[in-house]
Amino acid sequence: MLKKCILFLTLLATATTVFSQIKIFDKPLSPRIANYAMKARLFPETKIVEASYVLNWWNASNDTIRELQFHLYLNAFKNEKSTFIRESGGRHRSGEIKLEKENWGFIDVLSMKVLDGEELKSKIEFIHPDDDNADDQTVIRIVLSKPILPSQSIQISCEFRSKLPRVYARTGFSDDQDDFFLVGQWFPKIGVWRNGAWNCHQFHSQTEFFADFGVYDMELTVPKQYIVGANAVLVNKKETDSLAVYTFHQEDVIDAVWTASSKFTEIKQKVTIASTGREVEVTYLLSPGREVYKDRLFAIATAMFNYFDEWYGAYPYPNLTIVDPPINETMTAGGMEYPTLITTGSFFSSARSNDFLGLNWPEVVAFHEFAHNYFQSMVASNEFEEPWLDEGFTTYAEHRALERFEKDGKISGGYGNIFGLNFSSLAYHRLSYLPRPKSGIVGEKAWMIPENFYQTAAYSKPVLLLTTLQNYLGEETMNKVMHTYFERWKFRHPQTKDFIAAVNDVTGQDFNWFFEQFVYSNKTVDFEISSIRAFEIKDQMGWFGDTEEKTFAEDNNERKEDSTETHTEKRYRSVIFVRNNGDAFFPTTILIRFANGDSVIEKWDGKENPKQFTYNKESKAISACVDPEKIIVLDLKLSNNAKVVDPEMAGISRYTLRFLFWLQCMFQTLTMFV
Amino acid sequence: MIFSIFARSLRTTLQQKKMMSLLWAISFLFAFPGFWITHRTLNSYFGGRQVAGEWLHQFNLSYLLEMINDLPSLIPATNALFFGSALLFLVVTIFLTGGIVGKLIQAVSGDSSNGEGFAPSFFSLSGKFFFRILRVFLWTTLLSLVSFAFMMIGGYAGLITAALIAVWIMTSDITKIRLVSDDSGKVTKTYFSSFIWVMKNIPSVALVYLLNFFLLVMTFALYKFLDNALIANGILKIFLMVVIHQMFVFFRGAIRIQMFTSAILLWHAKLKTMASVASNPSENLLDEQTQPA
Repeated sequence: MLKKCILFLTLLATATTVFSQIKIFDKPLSPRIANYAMKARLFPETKIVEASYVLNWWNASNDTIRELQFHLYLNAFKNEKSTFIRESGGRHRSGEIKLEKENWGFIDVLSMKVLDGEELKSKIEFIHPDDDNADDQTVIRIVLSKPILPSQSIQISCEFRSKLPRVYARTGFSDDQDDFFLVGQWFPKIGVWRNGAWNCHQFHSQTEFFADFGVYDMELTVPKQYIVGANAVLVNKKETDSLAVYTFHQEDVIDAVWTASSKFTEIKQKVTIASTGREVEVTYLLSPGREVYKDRLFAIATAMFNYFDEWYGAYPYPNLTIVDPPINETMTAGGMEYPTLITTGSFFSSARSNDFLGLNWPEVVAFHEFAHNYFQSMVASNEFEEPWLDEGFTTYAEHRALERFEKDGKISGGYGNIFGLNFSSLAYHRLSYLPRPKSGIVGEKAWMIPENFYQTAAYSKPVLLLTTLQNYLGEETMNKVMHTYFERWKFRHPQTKDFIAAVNDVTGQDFNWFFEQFVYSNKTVDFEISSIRAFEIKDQMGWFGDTEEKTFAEDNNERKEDSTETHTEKRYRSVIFVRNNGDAFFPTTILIRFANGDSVIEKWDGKENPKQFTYNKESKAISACVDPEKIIVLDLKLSNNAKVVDPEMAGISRYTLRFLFWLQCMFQTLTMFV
Repeated sequence: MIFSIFARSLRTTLQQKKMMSLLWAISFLFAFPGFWITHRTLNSYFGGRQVAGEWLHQFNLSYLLEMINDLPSLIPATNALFFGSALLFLVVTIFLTGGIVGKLIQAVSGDSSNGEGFAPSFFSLSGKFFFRILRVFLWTTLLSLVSFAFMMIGGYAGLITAALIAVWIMTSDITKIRLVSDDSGKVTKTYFSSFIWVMKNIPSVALVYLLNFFLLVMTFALYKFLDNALIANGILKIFLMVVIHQMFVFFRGAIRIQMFTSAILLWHAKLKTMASVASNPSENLLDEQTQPA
């Protein structure tokens, strides 16, 4: 213990942390409001990080700021009274907090003061801006005796101790022999001054990101055998007899995270972005047994940089770190996003794609987490207040990447190809949306969304509505929209209205009707061809004539002979009813095919409901299909969009007869012990 | 010796057309309700819609998911039907095994069961040995489940599980042959002495089963090749697909019969070897444990 104290004092003594002179970008990409120079040391035995930083924060507003607010996110893991534990029940994905005392986490501010000035620690006050949980300690407020004037900077030095929790939700240590640490949300992080107030939310069960951009310098000290990765460029590495000191630097990011393990395999790869020829250095930190995935991860990384460059804009950073955590932590530490560092998960897959049940899990997770570098890291929306701008846009990007990756022949199926059945990502997201289309609203604040709807509201429905928008606008226009949104809002804090403005500006049309229905309300759309009928027009029989001298025609031939009209062929009346069973409108088209090969495309604004289409033609209508191009993937039931007069049922027999075969095979397998 | 046993057993198996047909028929019969209900449900749900036409060219999982979402009781009902059919199929298969083994023993020994027709003697043997075969099945299932514990270790320990399960299947087959052959009621004793016999003769027993396994793999490869080559997007092609499927099911049943036949021949061959060694005590190198019960 004495040794540790000496080391700690040594650390503090050298805590005159300085900002690096290294530059990554010639010109700042962001306003660089919150800039940290940090020193930290990991004590693996106690799972403690002893650290200090100097924060250089500047008031970019026109307001005079009289108090500061900071996140102390590790306190979410402090006890069962935190808002996070109350909301989540101590569970996250498949992980669950374990009750042993070493498994809990917390953060203590040991000292805080204005550099060369006011002492602040004694003024720390816990607040709970989102709920009435007075026991939550994830946000602090400090009232300043000297306010910060517009455009003025403040430098704050802080010493803190972070006790890492056992990782079950985003951050912490792995408690078995894997010796793995994911050090995220680990330092007192200043909130965002926005619209004349602090935007500094508590740590919630589902959300965690909203921060200002800045420059991060990190000096991380670990036992020598540990390999460290961070969301920054490695500037220097020094080693003593027992310790290794890593120095990292990053610019224009919203967060700092690092990982350490004595068992990582480190692989570096240069990925070239085709459009510019620029190279990004990708560092893979692979846990034991995960090295076999490297080729698969290489292919994913190469694809994702190029896809996202094409669809959204340039990835400006020179680095990306991809961490594949230990197998037992795939669901707890895997699948996390930080600027320029992501954690993946290859748990449900094998080294080659389409092996184990054909699941494309590494692709799904890697595309998703990398997409967060665009949506929430660079385009820094507020995950707490508008989660769909974060997870929704990211999942949409993931879906597009999976579709393209499949088109490029790299995978089969989106989420996978299970027993020959293509399980597309759209099918997955429809599966999430269809049972609960009315359960909540996408544009709601995260903590106001019902727990059972969060996945749908933040992830699945946004994929469906953005894909619907893409199908409606066309891929080229959608790319322009996304480019415009990205270029306008990268390194800033957009809101939904800013995305709507980008859509309206690029298309030159007012798309508020779309967002009002599908983002700000729970309205649904369900088109249906409710009936299609065709019958011969028999208007040749009966009494004819306007005067008392009427003539009676008994059949078509007699009538034709007497008539001045010439009827050379039969005519048919076809009547098609189309309806929308939902309460949202959507302009669409209806394709009607006739027996003689003719077809008609009708436009329907979707407001007149139901709508009837009638045709008197020499040929019968044989099929009708609303939304024939399958633009509206938000449609609750796509299977009722088309009706045919003479249905071809062989397609069903094809699969049910195969099902018969599967059943026989399963029965035979079941009796192999007999 | 093993290859000649294998070749002879193949010839004997191929003569068991009624038995092969019976195994195919019961698999069809028990799977049919599941198929028919699924077929009717899909037809009724998608009736008049264009879905079936689209499925003829490409399967769209979304439509199926919509149906499952619309009919929440469908999955529990299908599960109940499947497990019910599977359980009944299992019981019937256990029942028929006595008849299969008995008739195969007769066929191998050239006994034509005193001119009795196939069905009466087959079902008589099935009924006679039902409970004994059931107990053998329970032992094999229990030991196989215990063997799965090795899979918890992870890594290559899974191979130990696979090897153990193979041993239990071989033991189970030899036990059934001995119970029917000797008309013995001592199931447990026979099971464990069969296990010892299998372990003592593991090279020849394993080789026979490996040859049968190879036959199964080849049959599967041929089925897979034909199935992949055929895109069933028309009535005739769907009919061809069904023929390919049912041929595979038929031959898979035949391979199960072949496993019994080859095991019977192997058992008899070993029995003869031991008898000839026993008739010449100076050459008797076998210990008591290898003597058949």
